[in-house]
Amino acid sequence: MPKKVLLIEDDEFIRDLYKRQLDLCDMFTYAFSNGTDGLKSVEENQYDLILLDIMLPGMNGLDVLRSLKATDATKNIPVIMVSNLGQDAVVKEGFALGAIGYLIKATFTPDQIVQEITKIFDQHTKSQVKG
Amino acid sequence: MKFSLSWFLVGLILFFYLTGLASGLVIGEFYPNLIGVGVAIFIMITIGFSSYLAIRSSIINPLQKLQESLKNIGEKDFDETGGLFSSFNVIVNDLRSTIETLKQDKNVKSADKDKFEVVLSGISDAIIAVDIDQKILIFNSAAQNLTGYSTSEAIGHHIGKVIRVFDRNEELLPFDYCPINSNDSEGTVFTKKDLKIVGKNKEFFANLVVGKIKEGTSINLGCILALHDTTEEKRLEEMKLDFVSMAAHELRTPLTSLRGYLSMLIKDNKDILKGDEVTFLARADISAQQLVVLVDNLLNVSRIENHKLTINIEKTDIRQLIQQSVDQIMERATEKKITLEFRKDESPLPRVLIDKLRMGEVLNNLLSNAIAYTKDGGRVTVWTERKNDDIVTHIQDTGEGISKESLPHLFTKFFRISGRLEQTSKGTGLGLYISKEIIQMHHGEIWVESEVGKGSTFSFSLPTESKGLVLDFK
Repeated sequence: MPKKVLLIEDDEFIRDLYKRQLDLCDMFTYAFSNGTDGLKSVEENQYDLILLDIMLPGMNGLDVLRSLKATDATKNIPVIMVSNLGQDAVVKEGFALGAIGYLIKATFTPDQIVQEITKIFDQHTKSQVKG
Repeated sequence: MKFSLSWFLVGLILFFYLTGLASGLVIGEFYPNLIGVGVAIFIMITIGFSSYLAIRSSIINPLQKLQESLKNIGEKDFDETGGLFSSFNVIVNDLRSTIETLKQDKNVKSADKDKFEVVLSGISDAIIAVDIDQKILIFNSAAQNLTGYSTSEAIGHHIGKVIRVFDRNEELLPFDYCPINSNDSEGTVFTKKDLKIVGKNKEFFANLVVGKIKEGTSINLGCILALHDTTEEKRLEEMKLDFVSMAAHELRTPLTSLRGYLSMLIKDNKDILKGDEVTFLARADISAQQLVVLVDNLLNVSRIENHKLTINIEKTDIRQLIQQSVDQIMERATEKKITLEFRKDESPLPRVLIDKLRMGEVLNNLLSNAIAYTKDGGRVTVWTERKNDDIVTHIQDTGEGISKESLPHLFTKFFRISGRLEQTSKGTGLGLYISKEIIQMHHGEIWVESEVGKGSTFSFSLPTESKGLVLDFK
């Protein structure tokens, strides 16, 4: 069954690239350019995975993550941060808020990043089943 | 004059005595009993009085004179009291000159003290001197401004009660920066940059230099601390770091889409594209990748300089990581017709504790260099081996090699081998410096063996879990 993925990314090109690649890999993707629209979509849809950028217009990615984790209906949806910000402090905060992974976009091509996402998601699912 | 008057009186009394005696004898002829008694009484009184006067003249008067002369000592004219007092003169003169000298000395000393204090207060760095019990002796005005404590609040108090010193998050105690026990040491005994100093409801950043002098113990001087305020520099440094991070982010975003579209174009159209077109796109992708590495390197140097580079370790099979890095760079090797080989030894190899991402950067740096400095048709070979409790990885190339003069500087920041400009315009001279820093953070070592004309072998060691080190990964 295809996974339903929410992608919040403000850069139009990257959003397009990732959506294409995710769709190719059997992940049905909804893409939004800001946190507010993304959060609204979470209320209306059941997502299997959320891919979240950090530098976003208005609400930043960490605020979006905080809001997701503070809501009962959304707190269990796995979130992977996908950003070009690599400062340790930001990465640590992402994990502390409950992200299951943190990927730096520039390090990967779209197919590589989807591979990484799948790897993190599968590991997380396994650990959830075990736990 | 009084002296002769007394003797005159004695003479007069003697005269009356003799006269009286003569008269008494005459009178006694007529009134023998009464007159005899009266004359006797008179004679006795006269003798007593004369004796008194005689004693007064010979003993009391000289004593009175002595007293008067002594009174004069404080004044000036005691020379005329005679030779008896000449020794007093000498003593008093000595005393007077001694007092004069002392007065002058005191003036000189207080002038010196003033000068010393003016110099101390004119220094923009905080100067704090402590005695051998680490109690504050000197606390100049810069020290007062920086710490917020006044002289009276500081002097005589233990240094640890006045300032607290932190090296990032770790507190340094007075004995760390002012070792009192090593009394024989002289000169700088402690120096550290960018320490956080906490004073009276105030904190600032400073470079600390602590000095001692040999004679310290004998004059009860423990240490002299000089604190150079770096708060403003630190603030600017953080702004620079923020800027570099932001710039890196801004550079990475277009690079991400550039690489993304290029890779899609190549992958999806391999069959349709004509011979050269695939090469062109592959070269554009390689260049974009190099830009990504360049941005990463600049960012990493900035992090290293600011002690913000951290590693997150996990047990890793180093061979798996090497294979990934070799796979990633294979395209570039193929492009240059270089044979890139990872000689995988199948014997069991213990896992190492590493940060996969950072170690990936090290491998990428070393492999990129090997390929960049090896001529078309050359060879790059990678292998690992176990040496005691270390896993050593070697990357050998058949490039032109590195001269002996360049070898010691190879891992220095911004160092680039001269004469290679035309060939290596891609490098920033940061890759090996960053690699060394990352390897050292993993408690490993990195080195190179090279011969001009034959090639170079870069090697690095990483400790295995079984090394039993208490590894302190920050």
